[in-house]
Amino acid sequence: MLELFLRSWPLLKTAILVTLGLGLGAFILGSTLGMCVALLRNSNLRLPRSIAFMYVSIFRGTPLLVQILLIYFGLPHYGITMSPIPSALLALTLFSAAYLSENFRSGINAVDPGQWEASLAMGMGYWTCLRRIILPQAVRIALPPVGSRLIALIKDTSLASTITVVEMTRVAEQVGAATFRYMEMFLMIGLIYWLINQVLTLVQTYLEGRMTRRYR
Amino acid sequence: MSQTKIQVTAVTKAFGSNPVLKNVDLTVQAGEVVVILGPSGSGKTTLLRSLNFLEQPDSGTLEICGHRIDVLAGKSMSRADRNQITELRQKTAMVFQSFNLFPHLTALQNVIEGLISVKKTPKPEAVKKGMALLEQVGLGDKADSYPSRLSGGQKQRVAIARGLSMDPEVIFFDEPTSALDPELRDEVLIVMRNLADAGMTMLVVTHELRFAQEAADRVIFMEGGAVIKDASTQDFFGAESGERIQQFLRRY
Repeated sequence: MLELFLRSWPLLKTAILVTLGLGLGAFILGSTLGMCVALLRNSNLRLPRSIAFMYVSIFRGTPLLVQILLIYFGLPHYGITMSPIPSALLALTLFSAAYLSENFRSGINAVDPGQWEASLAMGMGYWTCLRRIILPQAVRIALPPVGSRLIALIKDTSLASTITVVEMTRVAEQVGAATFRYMEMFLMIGLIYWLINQVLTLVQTYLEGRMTRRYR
Repeated sequence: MSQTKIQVTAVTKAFGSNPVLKNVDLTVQAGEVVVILGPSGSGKTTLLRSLNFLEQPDSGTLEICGHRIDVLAGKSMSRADRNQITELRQKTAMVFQSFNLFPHLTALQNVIEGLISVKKTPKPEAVKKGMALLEQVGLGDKADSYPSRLSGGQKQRVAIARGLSMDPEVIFFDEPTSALDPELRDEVLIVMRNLADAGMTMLVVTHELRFAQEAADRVIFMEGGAVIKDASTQDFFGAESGERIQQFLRRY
């Protein structure tokens, strides 16, 4: 297996970077979009609220694979053509934003309403209060589910192989097909996915400890 | 010169079909310490929270620290009204029953948060003022402690310092000692007494009769969403205050 690993390493090396790039890229973009959706969903106004509600309903309610295929194979019908990697990144972003918005929203709503009252009572505006008082507390509460979402996202990047993105799963398929050593190849990338996620879990645990310290 | 800090007329508020404030009038002059007493559910906390619009009144005219807002039934707030509310909030401070300190900030950071993010005071100046205020409430040594490491009484004193940091013209106290056990109450009440003696305008919703008796200039008694007695402290605790008040006072 080691010899197979060394032989496929040049391909795997790039594939790992693509997987990480897609996963972390979609996470950053998805978090940004997800935060906006969460705030819209919490709005006092009906219209933004319904838009956010529908967004989550659509992108959480349909399979990620269908979204990837729609963007890559469907959109060209309307003259929108994107290469595989941007298509995958877009689909992963839209999909994860739907879930992340709910994670953020649960964090924001879990902050004691007294925190808003204390801030507003001193004349603080909505955005200042959100940024300086509410979000630091909300992010801490939302950290465990957000961490889970990032890990799920890393694994979900494997679906990009269906639209010819050469990420880890696709490399395993290719090398497996060329050498007939599928078992070893898929075990190998399974292990790499697990290792990546193990590191992310450690990062999450570290952040959690850091953010929780002052509350004890 | 007597200056009117709070002038409220005909304020009404209902939660659903349940009226909690019925045409309440209230006036507070600069330097006055006014205590609002009354049984639970009498509307005293709602009245206090209406004054800085944490609770939106249904109708009435409120003039707080020179900012006048006419609330008309069924009409939403204009942008100008909302600006008035933000400004009046910056001139008043509120101390809550449950403290509402910011748990992710140290005691000092709690005290200077408003200075930094609302008043845009430069950090060194804010820190200097914050430290002085913490000293004033006897917590100079707790500046770097997070709220989770403070006792209830200490938290409430930090909250008072936080309120004072904004140089408020009026401080609203909403049952500031109700969440504290008797031993911790006194340390908060002493800080409040000192403020009252220093001439701060204060409006205090409380069940502490002794504080009312010793520190208040005037006592307002509310029941069923209405003010049923507004008297000088001496008169309120005197024998001539009426049957209902006597009955209330006997229970304590």
